[in-house]
Amino acid sequence: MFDSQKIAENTWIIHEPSPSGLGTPAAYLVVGDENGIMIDNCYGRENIRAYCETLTDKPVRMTANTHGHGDHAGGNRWFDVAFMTPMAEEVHRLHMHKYHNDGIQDDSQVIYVTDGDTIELGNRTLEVFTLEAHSAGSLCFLDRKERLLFTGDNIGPQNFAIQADGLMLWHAHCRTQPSLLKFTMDAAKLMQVRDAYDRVCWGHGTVPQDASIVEHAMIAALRVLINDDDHLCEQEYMDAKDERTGHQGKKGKYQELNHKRSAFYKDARIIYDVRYMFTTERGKPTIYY
Amino acid sequence: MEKQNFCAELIAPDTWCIREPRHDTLDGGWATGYLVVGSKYGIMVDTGFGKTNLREFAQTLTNKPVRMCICTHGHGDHAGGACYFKTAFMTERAEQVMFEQKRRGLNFTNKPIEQLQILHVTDGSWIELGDRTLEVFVLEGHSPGSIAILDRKERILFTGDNIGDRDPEANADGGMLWYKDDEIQPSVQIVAQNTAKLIARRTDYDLVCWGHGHIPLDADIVEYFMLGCLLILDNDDDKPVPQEIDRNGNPKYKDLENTCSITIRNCRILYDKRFKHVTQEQPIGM
Repeated sequence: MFDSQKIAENTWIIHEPSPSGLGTPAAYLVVGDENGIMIDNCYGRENIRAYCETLTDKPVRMTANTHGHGDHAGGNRWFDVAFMTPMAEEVHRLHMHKYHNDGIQDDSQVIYVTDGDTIELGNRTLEVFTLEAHSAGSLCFLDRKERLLFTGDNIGPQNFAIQADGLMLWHAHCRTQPSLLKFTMDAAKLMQVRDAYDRVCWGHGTVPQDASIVEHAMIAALRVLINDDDHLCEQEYMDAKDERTGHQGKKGKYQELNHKRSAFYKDARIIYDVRYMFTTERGKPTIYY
Repeated sequence: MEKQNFCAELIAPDTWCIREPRHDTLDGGWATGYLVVGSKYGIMVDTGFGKTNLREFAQTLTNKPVRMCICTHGHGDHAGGACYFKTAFMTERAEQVMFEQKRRGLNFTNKPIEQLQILHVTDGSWIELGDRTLEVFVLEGHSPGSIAILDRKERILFTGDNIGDRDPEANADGGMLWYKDDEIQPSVQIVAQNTAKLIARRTDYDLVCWGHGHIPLDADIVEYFMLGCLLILDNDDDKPVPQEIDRNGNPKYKDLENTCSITIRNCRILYDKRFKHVTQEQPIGM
């Protein structure tokens, strides 16, 4: 069911195939001297924790969620402790009802984390950054030891082969997005520590990405904010199986196409809603989820 | 009171822009400081050349005591007047630059600065003025140990000479990542990382007040500056800067081979293409 690949010392990327065959999610096992932690855990149809414990002899009791979507936090139920934000827990609760009907309850203990928190693994520390982008209450994790940044679906390249887009500031199930300005301000936090990481591990890749993607995403966002770059977003169709009805066929990827715009810079592409460019109230992001 | 030649302009409630002309000429060469007054104290953000008593002049504008100043960097046109104050806030590196400039006679005053109480600030420092707080961000760029200062109450960001617009009339350039020949620029990557701190707080300010040129500026300039830095880092096609002649008839840029520029709207960044990314062997300049 699962396959894994070692990407750095004590660090593995783990894939679980998606039911529709597209957009295979990636999760990461990060192991320190005392504990291992899973950053995201795919759909978790089978016991992903048991699989992880075949890769390392350290206990893997904890998981950390970059966001609450079912293809990244579905396996929370196999773990004792899950680190996430309150908003991500809400999203997780709304999403999970349509996956898993095997009766295994999610009784993991949720611990809320936010900017500036750290998760200690023994001689290896994950730093937490909040990043409003792909889903409400998203997080990024920085590992200074192996110089990796885990971004989930928030920052990643466009990958046509697997129909994945690392920078959609909205998600099919949600109507609204965080404002583009809010995203830029949050991405700036990752720029501040740009000298601490070389590679970006994102939520749908096969291998880690060069960290210049963070700069590229920020350039694309800044160019939109100063009005240098604004393209209508063209509809894309994907051949996918509907998870609920089981119907196989073409499906439009973007809804409300007349409001959707895309911004490019090199390998980064941001899909955003032109109505939510700036925060509308001073200093307060109003559009959240 | 000695003859004073400052001019002051109210730019926001309890906030004045005070300009002082250079001693030898009136065109260009203006040094700009800002008087920021809270409910208890006033403070000068940058202090001009220090030819005449700036503190006395600032005190005529407000009835709150103006005893402190904060210098965005140590250059003579910003820290020169610090000697008239009781307390000066600046970074450790900026203090070194200030003494170096003083030694070379670049702040036009003979008043000794040994009596001045200098308090060091760094990232996360804040200065309380009563109902108004100034927050300090280290912002390497124009000179070693530069800072930017955020006033959340009036939503103003004071950037010193680090971030500003291009104003050929005033002979001003807001994004010179080097200073003449004696200071070596920080790597563009460090500048970008420091500027990202300001982008992360972008909803806290609407105006940028800097040391020369047009004042106040729309805060979009910070985005232009950030975008410029990122594009420098991401591209290899560095464009050499066109040579200019300064008011004494001398060429303005010495090392044309390595000095490059990028322009985003009204913001021009000048940088040395040898120092883009952080490298081991890069000397730390004074």
